[in-house]
Amino acid sequence: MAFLRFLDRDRTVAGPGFNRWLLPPAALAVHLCIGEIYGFSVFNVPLTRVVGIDRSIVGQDWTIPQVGWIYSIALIMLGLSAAVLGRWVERVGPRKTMLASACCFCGGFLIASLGVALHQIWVIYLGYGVVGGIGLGLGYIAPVSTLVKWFPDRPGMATGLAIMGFGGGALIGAPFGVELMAYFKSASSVGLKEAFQVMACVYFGFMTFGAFLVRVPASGWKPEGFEPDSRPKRMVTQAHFSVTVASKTPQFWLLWAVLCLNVTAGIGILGQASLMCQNMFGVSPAVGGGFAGLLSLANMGGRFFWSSASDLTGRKVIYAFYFLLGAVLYALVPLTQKVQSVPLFVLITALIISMYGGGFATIPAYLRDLFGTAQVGAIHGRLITAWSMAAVLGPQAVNYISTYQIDHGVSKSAAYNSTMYLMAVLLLAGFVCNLFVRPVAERHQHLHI
Amino acid sequence: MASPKTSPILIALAWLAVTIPLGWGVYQSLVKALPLFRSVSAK
Repeated sequence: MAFLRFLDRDRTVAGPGFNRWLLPPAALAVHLCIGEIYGFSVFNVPLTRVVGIDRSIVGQDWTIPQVGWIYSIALIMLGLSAAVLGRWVERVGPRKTMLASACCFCGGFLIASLGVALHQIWVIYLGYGVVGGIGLGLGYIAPVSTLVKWFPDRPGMATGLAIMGFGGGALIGAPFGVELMAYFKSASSVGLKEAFQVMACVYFGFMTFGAFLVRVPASGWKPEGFEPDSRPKRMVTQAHFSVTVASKTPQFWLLWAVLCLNVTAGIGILGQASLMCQNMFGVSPAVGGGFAGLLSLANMGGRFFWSSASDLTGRKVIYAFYFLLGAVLYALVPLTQKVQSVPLFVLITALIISMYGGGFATIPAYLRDLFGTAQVGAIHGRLITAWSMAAVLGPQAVNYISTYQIDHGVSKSAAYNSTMYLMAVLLLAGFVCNLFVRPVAERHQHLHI
Repeated sequence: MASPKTSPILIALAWLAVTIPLGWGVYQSLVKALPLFRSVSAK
């Protein structure tokens, strides 16, 4: 279709006067929207009261486990779509991808709204879960790979900025959803249907703004005054590997394990922050909620801070730091419960979660160092399957362990201790995986794209 | 023909468009976290 030509990659190549500092807002416009997925839990209770409005009617209303699948399906689809469509993303360019992401993510909201109106859970699975999940995957990788290409001098800071937006998306999406539901709530409606429709429209406008702002650098472009280091760094390749070649290397799978372990360990706290704080220290639900809010801020800030710091330290060193310090801090959490020190608990967990966010944000820069920039989006897309898996299995494992402990007579306040030690072990396993990451072997060199 | 330089106003507006909602989200989180700070300072 000729009128859609303006979306093509070749129509988005920036001219010589283009300022690259327009790119971070373009990336943030998309990530701040799709990051809403992290705040989806605010819809859980209303979704169980679509029929009963003020209470859930057994047998007629949906249950929490049924509703919980919406989030899980969306995250699974995020990983799958990023992995499968990564090459398409690199081929068609960021503008078409970001617009496709907006259509899928916001279309998913509209289909989910229909599911609420018809009271058919499978329509919501299909809408927010499958279609919206594809939008998440496309919207996650396209801005990141574009930023990496625009900031060869500061790739960690660039990816940190974009992925910080994803963390910040929950900070906006959750209260935004709550406000909308409160506004539209009536005697006959929980306000969900209307909230989904408004969110679809607002997010579409915002994501389209990002899509029209985005540009790709011209071939051979480099920032003014930037000269690539004449002394090659051992862990930074000068070559560009295809996604097919990259995903066959041990380095790719080591980084897959690094991301998977980092996410699983972080979710150990994030997934049940509020409840954990209440059970360990006997604080009120409001204080527990405040703790969860604080961790969201640490998660968002850590994405930018630690990823930017990796430009100075190198990627391998900073991951070693995340994993080692993270393991030590996790092992100290039970001590804070023993001495009943809430400030110490908050400090330690906030630091852990900031490094969890840092681990997320530094991964694309690590991939860029090892495999070059040409297909970093597609390679990142395949790696994201690690996140999907950890995000679905991690909370299940943590829930299972703490429930098992309580069922076997361990007090609620001490039930999280084993989980904390397990998280420390997972981080140590991540440390070992990171230790084995070496520059991509010479035998892959003939397979450059 | 050289392409025009990006206007600094456009850059500032683009940044504002993303920092305003983000700032609102951060503010909401801080408000939510207030009970935690009160509880910590009360101990």
